Amino acid sequence: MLKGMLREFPKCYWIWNHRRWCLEDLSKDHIADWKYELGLVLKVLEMDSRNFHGWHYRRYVVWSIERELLEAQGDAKKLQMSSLKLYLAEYVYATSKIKKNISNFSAWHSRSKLIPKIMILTSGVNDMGDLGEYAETVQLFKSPLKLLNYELDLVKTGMFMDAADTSVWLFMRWLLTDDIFVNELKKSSGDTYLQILEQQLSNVTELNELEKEDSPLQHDNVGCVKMIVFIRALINKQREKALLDKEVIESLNLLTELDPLRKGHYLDQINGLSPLTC
Amino acid sequence: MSNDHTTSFEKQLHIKYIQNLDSKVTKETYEYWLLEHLRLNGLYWGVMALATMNSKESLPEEEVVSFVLSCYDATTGGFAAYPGHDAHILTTLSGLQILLIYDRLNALDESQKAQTAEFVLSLRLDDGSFTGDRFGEIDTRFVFVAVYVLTILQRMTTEIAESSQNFIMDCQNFDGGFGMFPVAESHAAQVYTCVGALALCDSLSSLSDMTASWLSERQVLPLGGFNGRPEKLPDLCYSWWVLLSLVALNKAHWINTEKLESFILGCQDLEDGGFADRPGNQTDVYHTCFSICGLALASADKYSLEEVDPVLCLPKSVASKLKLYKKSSII
Repeated sequence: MLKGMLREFPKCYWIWNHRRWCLEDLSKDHIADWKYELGLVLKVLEMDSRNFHGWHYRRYVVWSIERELLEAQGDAKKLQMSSLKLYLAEYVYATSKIKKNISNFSAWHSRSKLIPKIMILTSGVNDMGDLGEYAETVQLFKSPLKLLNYELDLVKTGMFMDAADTSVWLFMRWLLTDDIFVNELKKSSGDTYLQILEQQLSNVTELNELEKEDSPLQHDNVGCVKMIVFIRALINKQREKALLDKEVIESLNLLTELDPLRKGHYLDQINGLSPLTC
Repeated sequence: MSNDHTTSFEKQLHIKYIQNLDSKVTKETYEYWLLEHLRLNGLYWGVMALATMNSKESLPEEEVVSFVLSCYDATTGGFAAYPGHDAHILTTLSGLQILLIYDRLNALDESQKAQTAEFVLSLRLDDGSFTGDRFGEIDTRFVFVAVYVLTILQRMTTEIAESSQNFIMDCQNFDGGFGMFPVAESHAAQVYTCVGALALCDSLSSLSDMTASWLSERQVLPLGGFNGRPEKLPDLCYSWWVLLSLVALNKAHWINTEKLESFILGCQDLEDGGFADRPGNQTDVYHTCFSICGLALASADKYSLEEVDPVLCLPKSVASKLKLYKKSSII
């Protein structure tokens, strides 16, 4: 009955919660069919790829499978591998959703939660054992640099596909600032982080030039200029220079004209009242 | 309905629209009974809209208060959406808000109030979160509502404030927004409840400008309305969630309020009153309440509206009577 109701009202909080309540009861007797639930939510997200109840429910099902694995109390190594497989499958799923539609921020968000989780599961493990279809994917997690480059490639494809898409820019900000990448890059060799920032700045600048050529009034692209400010500030910080240099101020002034809705924010940034990396 | 930018605010029409919601005519419709599970919430939306328009007397006060009291569930101490339904934390807040607006909180005696506080505290979990009722749904909304009810009843403690703040901060994402629970995607309405909860726990300073930046990105062209998440369509109710969060964070100047006002005015039904989620859609009391409150926040004077408190969603004259929890200055 609930399945029918979800088809009709996929955004109703209470129906999702009631299904969860039923499954909690079933799982007490270990008769909850989690694979069926995963199949069901796959369908929901096919119908509406941004339904956040669907994404929440998917995470709940994965968490429940993991909980049952833990309760089974098998061999620790085996348990870790099973969890790893579960989360790698989610990572691959998020990739497929992004490749289908780069504007699917729900999938990008999901990635930002899965990556740290998988990093923990793979850290300190040399022998990954038999991960079957995920054997190749798990290789990405061997080093933060390798993973970061893979993710930045995905971002690059996204931004060149649609520079106006805000979800790609948001995710890029995360990649360039989160400690799980930045700390490792700073540790490995002094310049790696800086090189990555310079490379990204050059990509975004190139994209902005292309967008400008395509724009009837030769306008810069708002998303690109915002990202240029963001990366320049990070570079300046890394070089221990003043964050708000001449070029950054020029870009912010440009933004007050290109994106007048948020003029107040840019003015606060120019006046040093709000950080540039927000 | 029109999306003309010069549309004026049709106050009298909206007052009539709300008065008519509970008339004999609407009571006979099937939809009215289907919405029984939201009745007390709906009444708050109507009362709050009227109070913002300085017209709370357009509803019969005694009837309103006695309906609220009939929703009080003496076994749990909470309020239900309708007499005989199960008590829920959301409707408990609605009940208390209505009583506050009519300055009738004393209609509940001290032991009833104590029981209401116990009801809310019984829904508290070890991690600082709250469930909505005995069925265990967890959501940052309920944390906000719980600390709000405890504020009204003067039962906030340092321990509750700290654990609520910790849970809320666990729900923050890399983009600066907040989700329904840890790991959930950021959503504008959820950001409001989290900003509100932090404000009531005297912890707004734990937020960086990232949150306000994410909120300001919700305003989209061409109409200047707000969406709830990146790459989604604008919806009127987010005007309220986003605007009030920005006001609470002192960053209302990060968006264009004039554009937002014309977007809100464009969602009015100029024939029957009320507001819809988008220009041309069906009106409802929920969107009506939050669009009127949104206009009041943007410019109360211009529309001859009462000033509204951005965290409590009550007229400022009512909100100012509540004593908010303050962190102790002695460390």
